[in-house]
Amino acid sequence: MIEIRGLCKAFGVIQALKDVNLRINQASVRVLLGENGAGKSTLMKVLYGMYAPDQGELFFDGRNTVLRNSHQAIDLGIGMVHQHFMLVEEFSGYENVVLGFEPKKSGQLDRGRMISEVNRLKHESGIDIDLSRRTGAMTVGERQKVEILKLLHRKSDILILDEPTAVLTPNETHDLFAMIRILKDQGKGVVLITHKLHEALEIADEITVLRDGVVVSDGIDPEGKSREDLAKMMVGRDVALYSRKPSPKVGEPLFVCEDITTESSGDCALKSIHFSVHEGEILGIAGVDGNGQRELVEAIAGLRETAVRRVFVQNQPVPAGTPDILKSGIAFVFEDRNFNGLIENMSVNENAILGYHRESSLKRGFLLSQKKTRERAKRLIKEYQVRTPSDQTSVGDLSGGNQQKILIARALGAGPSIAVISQPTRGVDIGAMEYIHESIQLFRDLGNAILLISADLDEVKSLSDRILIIHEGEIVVEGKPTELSDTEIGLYMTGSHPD
Amino acid sequence: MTERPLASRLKNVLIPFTALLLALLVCAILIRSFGYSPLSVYKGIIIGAAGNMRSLLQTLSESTVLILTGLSFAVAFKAGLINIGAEGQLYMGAVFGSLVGLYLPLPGIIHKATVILVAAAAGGAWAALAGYLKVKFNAHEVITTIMLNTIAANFCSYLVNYPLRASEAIAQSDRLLETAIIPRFSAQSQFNPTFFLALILVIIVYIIVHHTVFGYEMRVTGRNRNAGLAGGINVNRMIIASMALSGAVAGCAGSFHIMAINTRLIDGFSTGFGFAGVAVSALAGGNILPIIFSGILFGVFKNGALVVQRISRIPSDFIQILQALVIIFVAAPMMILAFMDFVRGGIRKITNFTGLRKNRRRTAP
Repeated sequence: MIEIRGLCKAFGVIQALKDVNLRINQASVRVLLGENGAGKSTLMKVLYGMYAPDQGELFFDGRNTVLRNSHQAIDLGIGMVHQHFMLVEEFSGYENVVLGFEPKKSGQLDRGRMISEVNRLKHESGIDIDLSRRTGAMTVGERQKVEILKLLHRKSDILILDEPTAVLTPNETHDLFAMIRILKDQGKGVVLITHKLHEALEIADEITVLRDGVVVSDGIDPEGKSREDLAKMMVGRDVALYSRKPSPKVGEPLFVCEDITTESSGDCALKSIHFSVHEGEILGIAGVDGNGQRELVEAIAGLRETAVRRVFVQNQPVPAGTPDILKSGIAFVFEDRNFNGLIENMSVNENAILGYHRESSLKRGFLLSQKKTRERAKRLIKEYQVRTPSDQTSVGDLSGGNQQKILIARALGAGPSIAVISQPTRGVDIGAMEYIHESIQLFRDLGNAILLISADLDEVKSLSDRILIIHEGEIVVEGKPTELSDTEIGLYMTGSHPD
Repeated sequence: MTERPLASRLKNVLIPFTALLLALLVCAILIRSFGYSPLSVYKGIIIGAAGNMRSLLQTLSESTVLILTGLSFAVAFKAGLINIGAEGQLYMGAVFGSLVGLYLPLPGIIHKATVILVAAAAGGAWAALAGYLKVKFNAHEVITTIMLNTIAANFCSYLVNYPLRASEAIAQSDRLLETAIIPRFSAQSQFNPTFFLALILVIIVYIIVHHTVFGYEMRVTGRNRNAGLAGGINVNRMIIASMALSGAVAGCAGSFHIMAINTRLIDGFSTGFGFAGVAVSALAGGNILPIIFSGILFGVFKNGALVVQRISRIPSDFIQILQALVIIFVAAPMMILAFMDFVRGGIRKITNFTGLRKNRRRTAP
């Protein structure tokens, strides 16, 4: 059992934690909930001995303890799975599990004992995984299992998991939660950091909400609480989460995809995908990540080679390749903002024009007018409530939510009639998420067509006027969000067909 | 330009400055270890390079090529490319510029302009070739430009040794036609109008890189190629075009040197101008306008070292060591930061120490 009393921690002028009290019990799951920057990770890093607190005391099984480094924390039985895994990719799963605490025989790694010890742990914890493979070849979910086994091997009693579900598919999350329940039954104390509300409600015995470095509510019993209740505590005001607002008027088909087929080259092949998006409609594509969503968006944009690509806007074929397709009035928000959305070390204003930088409205003679570029960026910052010190701030210095708002602003603010938006709120705060959802709905209400792709089922269901479910590169079902139950959707998403 | 906190702006100036200081320090140790006096060498450099008007002008003349090769490297670097080929592009510019200067009689100013344009085109094409190889075969530009350097230098060497050879004794061509030669301002130094042309080129390139759509696309390509693709930029074309622009600048440098300094094509006339450009650009922190200062600074070193060599017979080669050291220190900002911390720690220790003594005095009866 660990107890923290009166903990304070500041970084320069920023007070990351203020007078935090927290108890972590054995055989219990404590969820630490908070927005980005609320102090969750800082708190856990203090607990893990990585940061020294400015003030406050730590009691470990009732004894006042000062942690000098994480080795000491490990010795005391505290284990942490970091958001970015700490694994040696070239090593096998077994080797990673025992790393640092290897069973030895005459100074050498005792492979026999390593395998038997780790297999025993696997058996006890019910973690099912083939550990003989190279870690680099494992999926993210498998790597996480290796990390957890590593903590068990070090005999940790308190397991800290920092945003463990951020990178997992729904099925992997399900497996993880099952694993956590077994560990809890074995008497382990689990601390789980997340900003996903439904997960908190699902797994927690107790919830602690942090906001701006302060514990705003502690020891919340998830029983009888709704997501809205938690969101209100996190943000400090009422939040309209996933509120359904049907389209005021669905018009004629505007964006028609007759057939997109690709050949697989190590990724998911698309099998004659076809759909149409109408004026004033949001068509949502739901599915487990990696079932062809990324490929579909890239194929529409013409950034990926296709065997067949028949896409039309108002019966006109859509050209492939970004300069032309952007001009034809289709705007894109790609799924990974760091990969191909933003240029981190360029300013907000330079990022806000990417893709539209050839427009004559930004030019002065043959020069790219800095004044006009900045004016446009300032307008977008204002319209889409991007919180940035200035339009000249480097994009890399902004929070994920504000970075995402820039992408949304850039796409929707360019005046397209069709928007293809992929994972609009991935890794984004609740406040920003609410705002992005509103922007998307507002854009639709103006009579525009939106193709929305998201792995967040709640998001797809609440925003879309119609839903398609994609599985292994194929559209398996189409329906209204109100007509499909979560169970049905879940089954379709995993490839089984309910009858 | 982006608005950054003062501290980070200060860092932008401090890092190159400290790098230079460290390079001078380490170079001093080397000079010492070869049995010369670093202090007198450095003093000799300053007097030799800027002791009077004549040497100052000579320094500016030496800077001209360095500013341009530095600019050449910086342009490619803005597009995320490491063009080590300024040397070869400079030779190609010089070779084709010389051919026009030798054999194409044209009226004065037009002749000079044609030589420069042809040299820029030749240097640009030579660099674009490396860009094409990168786009087409994914051949890394560092390797290809180094290879192309050797080819270009030997091509020049072949020409002046055989078809263009004008004298029995030296491998060099005839003097360019008078209309192609850029006269010096005075007989006292080699200072000539190309220095000002180089400054104009720096400004033109700055405008292209920072204030045109082409420059914007170039910088996006250099920083996030995938974002460029998603934003409708033809990334492959940008790679080739950026290399071409970079090479064209180096080609100009070659023609300037031929037209104003050598007045003819000479075997191996470049004493590593292209490579010096890497150091010039590094000291400017990858930025374009500061190249003017760093180029002149390296001009000071070079001209000063030549003077020192003439007077005291200390080989001017140590200037190349200095260049290399600058690159190493600029390329390793962590090393600089550690050094700055070390110095700061030292200062703190000293102030703590003196503070302690003050306290002691105060408590003393």
